[in-house]
This record gives sequence, C-alpha cells and structure tokens, in this order.
Amino acid sequence: MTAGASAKTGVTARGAGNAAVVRAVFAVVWLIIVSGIVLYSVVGAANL
Amino acid sequence: MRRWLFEQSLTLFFLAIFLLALVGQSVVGLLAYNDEQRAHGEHGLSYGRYLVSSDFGGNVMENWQSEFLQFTLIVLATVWLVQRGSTESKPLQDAGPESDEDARVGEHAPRDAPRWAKVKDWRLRVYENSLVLAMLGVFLGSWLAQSLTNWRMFNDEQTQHGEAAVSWLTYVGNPDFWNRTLQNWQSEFLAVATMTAFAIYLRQRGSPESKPVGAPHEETGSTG
Repeated sequence: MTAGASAKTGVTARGAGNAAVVRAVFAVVWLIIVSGIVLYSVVGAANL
Repeated sequence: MRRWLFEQSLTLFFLAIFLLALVGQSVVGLLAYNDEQRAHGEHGLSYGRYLVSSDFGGNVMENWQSEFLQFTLIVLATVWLVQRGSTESKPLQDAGPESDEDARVGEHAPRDAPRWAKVKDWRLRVYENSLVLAMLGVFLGSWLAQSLTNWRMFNDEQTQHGEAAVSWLTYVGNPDFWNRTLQNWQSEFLAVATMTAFAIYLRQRGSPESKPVGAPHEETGSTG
C-alpha cells in the first residue's frame, strides 16, 4: 500500500467513525423525545 | 477535548443541561406535590412514582409542546416572511421557496447529496420538508401527551371538589387546557419576535446567531 493510499484510507475510516458518532447523537435526541411523549401519553391515558 | 466530543459539543452541552434541569424539576416538583398532598391530608408519592405521574408528565409536556411549536413555526415562516437587517431572516430577495438549483436537488444535487435529494418523486417532497415534519410531529405528540396528563389532573381536582369527571374531548375545550397551552405559547412567540428584532442592532462576536460585529444594521441574513 502506498503512503498516499494509507493516508486516504485513514481519513475515510476516521470520516466513517465521525459519521457514526453524529448518527448516534441524532438517534439519542430522537430517543429522548419519543420516549418522553410515549411515556407521558400512556401515563395520562392510563390515569396514573 | 477528544475530537469527536468537540464535534458534538453543542448538542451534548444542551442535552446535559436539559437532563440536569429535568432532574432538578423532578426533585422540586415532588417536594411541591407532596407538600400539597399533605396539606389535603393525603399521602405523598415516592420519587419513582412521581416520575410516572400525570403531574410531572403534564408539566414536562406543556413546555415541550410550545418549544417544538416555536421551531415548527420559525422554520416554516422564514420560508416566506423576512425581517430587514435580521440574522433570523433570509435576504429579502430570497423570500419564498428556493429553486431546485438553489436547493441543490434533482439534477442539481451534488454527488454527495443525501439520496432522497437526488430523486424527483415523493421521497424528495418528504425529505425537503423533513425538518418541519419532524418538529410538527413532536409538537403534536407532546401536545397530545400534555392534554392527556392535564386531563387526569383536572379530573382529580373535579373529584376532590365533588364534581363530575369530564371526557378527554370535553377537557380539550376547557379553559384550563387552553390556559396551560397559551401561557407557554405566548412566551415562545415573544422570544422569537425579540430574537428577530434584537439581531438587527445587537451583536455577539463569534456566534452564528449574530451577524459580524461590524456588519451594517441593514445587512439581512448574514451570520458571524
């Protein structure tokens, strides 16, 4: 593998890792919101 | 700070203070709730039980719905409405929906564009409105949750005063529901109007919410 190819692969791997972290942050925000809405809709509907 | 942490720092900071505020609200909310219960000669709730009570849930959902309504409206209104000199506004000549070229969709989409931005069918219609659809969905969901939890609290009080419980449909037409709803909406709308107007003349160096410190007051739609 040439130095250029190695550097390129490194950048791609880091890019993919960063993209996964960004997706995880996006998913956590959705999870908090959806859980809150579902939980308190059930709480209210179930008369808790 | 590790690079990945730095790159998510804005979201993580707000998530962290959200959780701190929510925990604080749950603790003082429980104290206030139990004080009132004891004043009525009733038993208080445990912390765990209070977390899944309509009292706490209603207080949380009331505030959520108004925040997401605010974002739904600001995202949608700024497509057509402008404010000369404000960073919250597009340049005046750009009012209205963008052309496909400006929106970089269909044949104008770059190679690395999101997949649904490259097509020209219903998927593009959904994706080009996805931010508003998400905010609107969260607003409607949390407003529904607010109505259900407030309804439960309202009926509790009705029963305590020897009055008849009401149906959910009756409750959503009741002044109690609209009082709780509108008191949250008015503050959000004032905050947006204030931010839009303040951003014309006031600055925060380094913030994308502000125009550059030296930018003229008339400059519209620029960020620092």
